Amino acid sequence: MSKNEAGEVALSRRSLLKVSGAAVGAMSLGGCLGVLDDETDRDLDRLGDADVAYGNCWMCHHACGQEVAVNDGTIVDITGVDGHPRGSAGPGREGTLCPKGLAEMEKAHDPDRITQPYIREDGELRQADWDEAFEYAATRLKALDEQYGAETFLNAASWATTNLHGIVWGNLYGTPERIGRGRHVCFGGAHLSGNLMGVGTHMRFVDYQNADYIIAWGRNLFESFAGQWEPKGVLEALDNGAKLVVVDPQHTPTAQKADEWLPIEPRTDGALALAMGHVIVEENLYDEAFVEEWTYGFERYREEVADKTPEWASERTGLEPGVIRQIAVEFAEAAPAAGIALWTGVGQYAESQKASQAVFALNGLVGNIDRPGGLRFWRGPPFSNPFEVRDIDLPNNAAGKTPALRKYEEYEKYPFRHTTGIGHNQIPEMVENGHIRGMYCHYDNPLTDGNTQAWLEALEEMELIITVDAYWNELTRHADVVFPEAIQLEKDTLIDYAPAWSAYHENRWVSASKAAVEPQGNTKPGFDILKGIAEAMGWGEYIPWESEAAYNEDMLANIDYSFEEVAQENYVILDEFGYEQWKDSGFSTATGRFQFYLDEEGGYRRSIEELDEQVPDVDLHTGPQWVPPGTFGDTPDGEYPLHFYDTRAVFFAFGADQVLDHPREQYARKHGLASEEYEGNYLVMNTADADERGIETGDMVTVATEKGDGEVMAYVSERTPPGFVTAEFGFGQGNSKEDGMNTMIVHDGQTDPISSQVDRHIAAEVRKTGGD
Amino acid sequence: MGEQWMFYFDPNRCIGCHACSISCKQRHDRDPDAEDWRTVTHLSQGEYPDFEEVPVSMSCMHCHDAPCEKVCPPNAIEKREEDGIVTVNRDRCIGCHYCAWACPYGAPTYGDDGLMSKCNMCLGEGAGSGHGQPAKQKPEDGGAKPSCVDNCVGEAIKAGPVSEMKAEASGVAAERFENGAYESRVIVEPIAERAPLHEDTDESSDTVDNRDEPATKTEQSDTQTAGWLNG
Amino acid sequence: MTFTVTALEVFVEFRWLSADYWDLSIPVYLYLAVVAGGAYLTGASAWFLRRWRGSDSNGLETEILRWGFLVSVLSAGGAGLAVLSHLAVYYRAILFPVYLTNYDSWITIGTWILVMLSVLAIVCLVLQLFGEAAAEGDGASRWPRWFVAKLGLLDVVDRFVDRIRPPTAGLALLHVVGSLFALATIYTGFELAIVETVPLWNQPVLVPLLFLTSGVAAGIGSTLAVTMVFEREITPMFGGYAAVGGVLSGVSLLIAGYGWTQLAANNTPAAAASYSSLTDGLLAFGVWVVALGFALALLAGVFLGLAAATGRLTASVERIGGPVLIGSFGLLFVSSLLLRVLLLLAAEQDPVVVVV
Ligand SMILES: Nc1nc2c(c(=O)[nH]1)N[C@H]1C(S)=C(S)[C@@H](COP(=O)(O)OP(=O)(O)OC[C@H]3O[C@@H](n4cnc5c(=O)[nH]c(N)nc54)[C@H](O)[C@@H]3O)O[C@H]1N2
Ligand SMILES: Nc1nc2c(c(=O)[nH]1)N[C@H]1C(S)=C(S)[C@@H](COP(=O)(O)OP(=O)(O)OC[C@H]3O[C@@H](n4cnc5c(=O)[nH]c(N)nc54)[C@H](O)[C@@H]3O)O[C@H]1N2
Ligand code: SF4
Ligand code: SF4
Ligand code: SF4
Ligand code: SF4
Ligand code: SF4
Ligand SMILES: [Mo]
Repeated sequence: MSKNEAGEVALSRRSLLKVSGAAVGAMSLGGCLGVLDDETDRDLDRLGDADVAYGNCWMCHHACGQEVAVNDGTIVDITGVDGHPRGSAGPGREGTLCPKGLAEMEKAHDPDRITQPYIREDGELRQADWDEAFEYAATRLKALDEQYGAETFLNAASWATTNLHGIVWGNLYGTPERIGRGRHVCFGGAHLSGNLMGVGTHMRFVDYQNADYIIAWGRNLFESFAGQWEPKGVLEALDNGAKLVVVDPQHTPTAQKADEWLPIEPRTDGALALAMGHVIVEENLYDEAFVEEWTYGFERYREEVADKTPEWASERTGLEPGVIRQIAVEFAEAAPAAGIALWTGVGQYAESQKASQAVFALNGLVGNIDRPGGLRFWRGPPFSNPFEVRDIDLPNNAAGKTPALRKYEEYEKYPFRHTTGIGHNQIPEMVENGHIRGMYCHYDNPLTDGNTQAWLEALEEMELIITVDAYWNELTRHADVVFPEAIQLEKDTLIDYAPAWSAYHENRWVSASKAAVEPQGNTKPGFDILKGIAEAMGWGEYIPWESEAAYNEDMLANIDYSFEEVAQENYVILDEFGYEQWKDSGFSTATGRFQFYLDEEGGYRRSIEELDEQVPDVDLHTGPQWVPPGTFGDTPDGEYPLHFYDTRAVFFAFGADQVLDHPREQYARKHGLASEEYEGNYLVMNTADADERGIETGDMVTVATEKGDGEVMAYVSERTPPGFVTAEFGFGQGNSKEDGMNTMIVHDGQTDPISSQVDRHIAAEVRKTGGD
Repeated sequence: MGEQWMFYFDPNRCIGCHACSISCKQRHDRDPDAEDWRTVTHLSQGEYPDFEEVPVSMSCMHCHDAPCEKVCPPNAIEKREEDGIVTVNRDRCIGCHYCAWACPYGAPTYGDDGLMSKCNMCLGEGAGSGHGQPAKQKPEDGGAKPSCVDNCVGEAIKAGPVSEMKAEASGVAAERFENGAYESRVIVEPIAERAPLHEDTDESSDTVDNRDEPATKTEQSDTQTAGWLNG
Repeated sequence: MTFTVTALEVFVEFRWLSADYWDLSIPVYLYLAVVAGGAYLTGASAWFLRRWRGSDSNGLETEILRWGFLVSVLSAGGAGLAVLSHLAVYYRAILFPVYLTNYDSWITIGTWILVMLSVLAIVCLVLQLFGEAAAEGDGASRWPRWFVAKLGLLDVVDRFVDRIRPPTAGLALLHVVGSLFALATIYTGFELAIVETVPLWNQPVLVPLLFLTSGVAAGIGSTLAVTMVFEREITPMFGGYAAVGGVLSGVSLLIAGYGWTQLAANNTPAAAASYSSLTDGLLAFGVWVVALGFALALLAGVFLGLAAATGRLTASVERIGGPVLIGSFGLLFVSSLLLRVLLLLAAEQDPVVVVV
């Protein structure tokens, strides 16, 4: 927070720039710090007289520092920023960019981007200029409000570099309907458990460098990372002698590096966790002081796990009882310097809330919470609210409006309505019922996320779709207004998106960058787009900032660095924060403690009560408990004997960047299929499943479920277990990369009934369709 | 003659992400579908669940004995005195592909023009660049850091003068290099045996990460050398 | 735990035929260069035989020697075109005395050998095709004269050739030097054998010898086969040539067989991969064709050749002998090429073996 303190901890980058202060001072848009001087050893070509500029990578939105070389308005080279909190292993360490981050250079000059606003006229999209598009959007928004009420409009903004969308759609337009990626399609089950139990969303990131024991529980840390500090931090820990345990049905790049890989039966994590709890309790390896003083519901938990022996769990998980016992003992003995990283693997199935609850209970048991090497309660920079800084009296026009999910009896069948305001899979139904009639989509394509066929129909039915996007796909082609957004390297950004977790485990930090190049074509930053809409709506007075940078300046009111200063250095390390923060503030739960049982959480309790009535087989309660796979959601059967699940590749961020050539080519090369004309995703299946069906790598196959089918190229590999087939999501119909298969086209709206999370384990059959 | 530059690779730190391949392509302004100067290969063996996979990132190794240079009929390939970097003069190349036959690493590539191009340790930008340039300088002296090294997410690849690379390597790897492993063209760390813990229940201390324990394993590994090293 | 990177996996895929790395022109080049040498040796030896036996210029020796030089010139030309077609910049190759300056490279050395052999074979051929003796002779091998006659230049050329024809000693020297270059086509084997990392190739004795014996056998065989098409009689001398061709073919089979056992015993990953690709599928079929081709040429050449050479050929055998020799030497010609194709297709190398 204070400059003095920051000055002490600010590392290499800062001192480096101080030395070359003159050059830094003169740095303006695009910078003018020559990369190379005349003494260079190289052929001076494109880099020869390029300027340096910075970015904060927005490809997967985790903000690794970028250093770009700009020659005559073109980005000619891109690399990482040393010591960057997100993109390096820490102070003085090499900053790099992962394949996605590198590909932002290609994206900057990608000719396939949308570079002009479009509006719908006589049923067709046509190019428009900005003012026309703003006016058109405003007219349509006002009409929607008048006819149906603003509450029928859904704010589906995803990866914005500004929080302005919340202001514009919530406070000003006045809709209570908001869907967020993290909560509803990402790891809803685990998100809910984490929040209610007291570990929040911190449960995804371990204090890696300080850990002696890391369990990647359904996490593919070396492929799907939230900033490169993650894999780098784990490698550091391994170098320091830490043990890595991976709980995953698939042999992932993370499993490649593991000391122990537990190839668990899908959706049985709850059994493993309960048995580990059983061992830890039985052998008295838990942190008695912590449990006593800081947890709630332990006695009931102890009873719950009393009969959950490793042998019991072995039958369900397919793991050896000895292994389960050993992992439990080692984990507890290493604690508190032992952490569990968990995200989508135990966050995206129908029983995932219950399963993740059983896993998180282990954290409370061994007391690894916000202690070195365990889970860390990360803290972001102390940003100010710009509206308060400027004394702007914002109305809250959404106040008092109830989201449709809680308002209408049609949705009483959904127990999760007590824990959340909306569910991704249920939106098509709400559209059909006339409760949602329009949507604002920013950097978000619901057609990749679940229940796709229903969503395709919903898009047809919606009266008004406004998108802020960069590529054409079935979402943008269905829109009534398409605003083309500038990419991060083309705008001034202050990273305010969860800027907490990083390689600096004990410091807060802030990162920012100025536009490295001009926005391509006629694109604009999202901030300017929201401001334009607001002005056309007549709310100009509420948004007086002329640019995102000015808005950011006010966010920094409480920090002794100006936007310009942070941007010049790319990142600034702020003050330290200690461990065991719960000692001061308690846990942010109903009881102020870590909660094994969630009976004090009213919404959750009501969800469970309602759900309990719907499922007679299992006696549901609010604590960690075993819920067998198939209690909710699909189970493979005779007709659909395979588990179909979708995955991520290190080359792509969500469904957003599959159109870029460099990463896609490497993705194909990794599978040895680059010589094929096919440019889609691959269905990874075990040799046994493939042989049975006469399928070989390179064959086109059909994935069929009760809902429908899709076509994809097969890749036969032993990295996936028999019975478990996977494909990378973000391809096929509905996506910008239309080759290949949209994995969610065969999805039938399967959902975790407690959290509303999309359930991605689908029962399927695969057959050869001929082809290559 | 200046000190020879070389590459170092640690499969234990390689996460198989291909950032090195992409950064190389972008640095040298090469098309996505052109052959890679730096490749990442994923080696695997075994059946689920006894399955293992290792990523290996490779490029031209700038071999001290440069077999490619020896065979190149028009002397288009140069093993540079000043820094050992092997460059190609595309104004002499006849496109015979003989260097690709001779290269143990499959490093030479050929574009639509049929002329050879390959890694030049980022001595320049683009195919054929670097030829005839002054000696490579270390980044701290103002030289360009090889792009792949600069962007290796796992910090698995390093490049520099031989003495520096040896110093950075583990004891085992450096010693194997001295003893002629990989024809002393590159230093590759042995794969750390992260053996399943439960297989040796009584003596779990045996499963130490051998990256930290080079000394104890050296002798044993050296006796294996002849058997498994090739090329 | 041992993992191997096999970098040039294109070797074992059939894709290579279209890829510019290893298209068909390479084995064709490696092959035709030695065929040119073998055919030249056939022609040159026939010249010596003719002189030694004082045969007239219309005898079978003359036919064999003309056909030999002709096959040699055509093969050398084919080899040259094949290698040129594979290059990216032809003109630099054509200016080889300027550009090919690396005399440690077998391609540089080979280019000189091939060019010298071509030049000498052309000179020998011209000396045999034109001049008074040729004008008065007969035989199908004189067909190129017909073209020159069409151009109306036959008299001029005949006179010119007779004028420049060297004395006998000079001719002998010419044929000796030519024969040395013909034997030097063994370089094609060295072109592969110096590639240390490919276990299938890196046999500095085996591969060159195999290339030489199999190529020369094919050169002799193809010369004989062409001659045979026009001359139905299997004379004792012809039998001698057939026997030599057969023996060389047999020697090739032996060398290849020895190489095969070496490969089978080599358990480096690349060797194992080569071995398995040669024992499986289409390549395995190719291996059988090669073995069969060499074996048949051995049997036919040695049996029929020795019988003819020793005058023990019965009339009935002689009647089928011609077609049998043509057929088996034809197959030998294909097999010997296929041998090289297989050597390229099945090549593998292990650049980096990562180990525990
Ligand atoms: N390259 C890349 N990186 C990314 C992203 C991206 O799109 N691309 N997205 C980012 C985002 S938003 C997120 S949410 C994170 C996600 O980060 P992770 O959750 O680490 O990512 P996934 O690759 O989805 O890993 C899920 C793993 O769970 C395993 N799994 C599947 N079913 C089960 C099960 O029943 N039990 C267990 N134990 N495991 C199971 C899968 O095999 C898979 O390996 O990644 C972030 N990083
Ligand atoms: N099937 C399946 N779906 C999933 C997941 C899964 O594992 N499987 N994971 C889920 C998870 S964890 C998450 S966090 C979400 C993430 O989901 P989102 O972040 O919403 O990502 P996408 O849906 O891929 O959004 C892609 C949209 O962004 C647009 N876009 C691309 N580049 C830009 C740009 O520069 N600017 C703007 N404005 N738009 C751009 C694309 O054209 C496309 O329309 O996905 C979820 N969806
Ligand atoms: S992890 Fe990769 S894509 Fe994500 S922000 Fe960092 S460099 Fe960019
Ligand atoms: S790796 Fe290949 S191309 Fe590079 S120097 Fe060695 S032989 Fe030459
Ligand atoms: S392809 Fe070019 S560089 Fe390679 S050996 Fe032939 S001439 Fe030399
Ligand atoms: S050193 Fe440079 S040219 Fe060589 S592989 Fe790395 S990035 Fe490519
Ligand atoms: S960038 Fe580094 S970690 Fe990634 S594949 Fe290349 S060598 Fe491996
Ligand atoms: Mo996510």
